[in-house]
Amino acid sequence: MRGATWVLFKKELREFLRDKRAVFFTLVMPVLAMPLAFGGILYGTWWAKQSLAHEVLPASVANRSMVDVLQGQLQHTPLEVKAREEALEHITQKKLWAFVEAEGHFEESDMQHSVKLRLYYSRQQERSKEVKERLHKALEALNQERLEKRFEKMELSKAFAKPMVIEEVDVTQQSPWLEMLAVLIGFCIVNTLFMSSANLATDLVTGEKERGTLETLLSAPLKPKQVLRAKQAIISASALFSAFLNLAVFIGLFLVATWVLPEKEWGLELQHLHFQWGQLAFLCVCFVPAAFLASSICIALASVARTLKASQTTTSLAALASLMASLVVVFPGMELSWPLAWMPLVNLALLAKACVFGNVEYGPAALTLAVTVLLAVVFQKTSTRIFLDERNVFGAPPKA
Amino acid sequence: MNKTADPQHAVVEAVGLTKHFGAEVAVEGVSFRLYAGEVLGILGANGSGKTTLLRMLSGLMRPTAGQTLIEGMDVLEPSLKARRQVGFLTGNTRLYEKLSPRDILHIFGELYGLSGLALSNRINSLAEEMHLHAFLDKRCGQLSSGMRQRVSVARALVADPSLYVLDEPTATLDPMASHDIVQLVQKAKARGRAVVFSTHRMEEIEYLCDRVLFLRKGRMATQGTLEALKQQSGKLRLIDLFLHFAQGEL
Repeated sequence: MRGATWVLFKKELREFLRDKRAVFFTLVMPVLAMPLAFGGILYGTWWAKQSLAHEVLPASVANRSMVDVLQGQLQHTPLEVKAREEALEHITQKKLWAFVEAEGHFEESDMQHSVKLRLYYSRQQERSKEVKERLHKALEALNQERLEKRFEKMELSKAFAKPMVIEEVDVTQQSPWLEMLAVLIGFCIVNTLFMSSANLATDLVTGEKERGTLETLLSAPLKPKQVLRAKQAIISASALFSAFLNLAVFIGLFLVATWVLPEKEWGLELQHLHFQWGQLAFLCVCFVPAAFLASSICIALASVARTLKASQTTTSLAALASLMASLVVVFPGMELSWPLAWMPLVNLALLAKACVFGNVEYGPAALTLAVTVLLAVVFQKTSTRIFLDERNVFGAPPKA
Repeated sequence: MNKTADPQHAVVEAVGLTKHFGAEVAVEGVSFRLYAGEVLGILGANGSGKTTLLRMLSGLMRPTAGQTLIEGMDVLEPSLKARRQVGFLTGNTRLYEKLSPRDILHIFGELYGLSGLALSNRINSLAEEMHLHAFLDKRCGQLSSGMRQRVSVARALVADPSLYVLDEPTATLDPMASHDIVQLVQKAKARGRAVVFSTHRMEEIEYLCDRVLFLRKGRMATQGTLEALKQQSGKLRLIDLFLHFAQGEL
């Protein structure tokens, strides 16, 4: 980048850095808001579950014998006897959270019959669902206990009831938190590229047209292509910076979490992070053409728009499309493969996910890079043609 | 320095300039020559093609047919040598709100090929001439419209080009600021610069222009000195002259 393009790049950078609002929304918001919001949601969910698990929540049963049998197996769930109609009314009024009744004798009378239990709760209430789980667990334990007693009476071993005991062993020792991190990075990083590009392209292309400074600039002895190159360089650089910062913040949050949060409760361990520096470097390389692709698409859309409002709408569509593509990483079983490596943006999101797991396959990864470079070149040419179109630079000619 | 037009030195030669936007004709076959030290007024009703013509003259817009020669070079030639001879200013020209007048003059000076000490000296002398010193390092967003227009003028003059293209430069200005622009054109003319000037203010045309060119629906209706056109049309008042040449059928 030499001569006029370099002068224009410096000008764009100076303007950008002096616009505090633009810096805040283009860099800080997408970079910090997403990780902090997701981090907050995760911690909030964990904290709410912990609180709910220790909250005293009353339930009721149909007769006294059920209280005698079940109460010993339940924690934080006092039982009382109530008639069904009254109990159901109390569940609706949130005075009570669940109710159990039995068809037949609940007491263990003989070995020939089963007793049918009905557990009433409200799916709309989290507390009711929690008490249902507690009661279900206690009843399952009771069921197992009675089954074992029956075997004992018949002089059979306990193993008779369980011919097979299944134990699962995850050889990767993968933490569910790492899966969450991979999904979040895959989902957010591509989206960050487009959000940042959309914001800046709107301001630097449509905003400059609307403010009347584009004609000022083009009146100088330079080629419109040089104006475009400078704008594209600053948009791509800022998008790339946002994406890398996004990646760094997510990894940083994970590292801080492994250090700060209790390992037993959270299951977070540093060894769960399988990053390989080579794979991480390859991901960063892939994001360079991806940033050019995002900036080209957003510049093309912003060039066509006549007003800032129209530009915000059209570039938001690009950001939305990137969001839809990134959403693929959330679906279970979606991994970077040869067919998916052909799909733009989806491939980048999946590559980022694979990078967190440290299991990048180099064939599909190389194809991802090739597809991204190819699209970046195609869209670069398209955006140049659209940006340089005089109807887009000067607007429609006035009618005489 | 020249006080009158130098017929030996054609700064601008417009040859059959034509611009079509699809089926719509914005400008059709406009040709003229402009000499050093001469001011040419471009007159016409709204939508007659003045702005499009001036954009083609200054190389901002590519003509559908025809060409503009500045000092004998095509204004669109890739080396941009011809474009460096043009200073373009419109009444709608805006400034970068986050940059200071010094930043803007520096950037445009660099784009015109100036650098280092020569550029700094040029900025200082322009600031002196245009009375910019009091707000040279303030952001343009904090300046009044008069101050901004002075900065815009300085921006167009930063490389002291041989052709000034001024598209309604006084349209949005108060009488004092307009007076400054008129003085600027007078000074440029005295320095032997060629000026193409478009305006709706008849007194400016009468005061400044050596020749006027009337555009009607994108076509040149006529051109000549004001005296010759008054004789040709039999209209003595400039407004009548405008109505005669800028309206009606060709």
